[in-house]
Amino acid sequence: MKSSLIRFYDRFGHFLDPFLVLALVALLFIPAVTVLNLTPRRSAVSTERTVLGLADQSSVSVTPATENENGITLEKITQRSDTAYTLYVTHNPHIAGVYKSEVFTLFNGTDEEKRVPVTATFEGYASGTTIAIVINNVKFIVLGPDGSTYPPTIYIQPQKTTVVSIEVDSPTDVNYTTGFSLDLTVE
Amino acid sequence: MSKLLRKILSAAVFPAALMIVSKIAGMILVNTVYDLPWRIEMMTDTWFSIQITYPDQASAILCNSYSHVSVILALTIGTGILLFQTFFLNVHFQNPKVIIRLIQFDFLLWLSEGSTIFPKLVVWLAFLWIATLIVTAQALQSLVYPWISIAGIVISTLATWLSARGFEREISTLLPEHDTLRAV
Repeated sequence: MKSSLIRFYDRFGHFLDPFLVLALVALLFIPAVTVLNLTPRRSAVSTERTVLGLADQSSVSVTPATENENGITLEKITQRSDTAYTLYVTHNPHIAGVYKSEVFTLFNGTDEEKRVPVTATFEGYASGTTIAIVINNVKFIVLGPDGSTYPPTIYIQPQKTTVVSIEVDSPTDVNYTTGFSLDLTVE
Repeated sequence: MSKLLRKILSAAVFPAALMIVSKIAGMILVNTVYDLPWRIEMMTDTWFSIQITYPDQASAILCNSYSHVSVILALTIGTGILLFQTFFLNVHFQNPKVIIRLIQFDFLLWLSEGSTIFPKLVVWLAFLWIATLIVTAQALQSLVYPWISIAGIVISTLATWLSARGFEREISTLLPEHDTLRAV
């Protein structure tokens, strides 16, 4: 068996030489590519943000409110890009009535006015419910009693903070947790 | 199968692995010493989608530079050992005093023949030059401190020159010049 292997190598071994050359080239190439791949780079994402996503002083920042009231809670904020956020708000089971809570603040760290269009998506709301974004006591309806949705736009002056509240008007008792998401895009 | 090719191939495995390991070790060391805030990020605008990133360019250059120093240092040490073997522990040029010393310190295995050292030396030099070329290319892109590239070029050139000298010396023992033959 061993001698037949040796005879095989003697006869056909030189056919393996090109593969050895290829292996050698690969051995030279792989570490070079790996070292190049390990070249560190500057992060594309700013690290000035907090855990929830958010304090880039060079643009508009979104900061969650420290205290939520009336069972309305800002569950999470996802920063989809440097200028786009998704906020998820929940509302605990409640009896019929009007509920309002501060939810987040927007700060415009730039020297120009910024537009923030808001798009809302709702889950589990009974018909007749009205949901509004309240800024400086002005209501911007996002969900009408007939189930229609409206996309309001928030304008923020340079170097100003805007406190955003949510108001939920429930005509009936709700025995389960409802929720909705707000997509904010800074323009 | 070519014996020389097999020798070169088996000699290339260790420096190839060392190059990668020393780069990673260098990065870990720099991150630990300078307490740099690194992280792994997915990037779509580069050849390789997974990248090690830093919040600022200065930290990235610092880490990249000193990890390259680690690579060049590791390859220089390896090449240096082989050059040392070529010049001082080559069986062809051995003097009895050195052999006695080697026996005393149980280093007799370090004695080597040119035929075993030179394929290794060529491979190590190739890796040293590859590392130097990478550093120089990155220094031109301002991704590495320029002095590292200069040091790499100097070290690689010196190592290549010393290897050539060693090879010439080896050749002269195998194929003595006419004058030497006449003298004999």
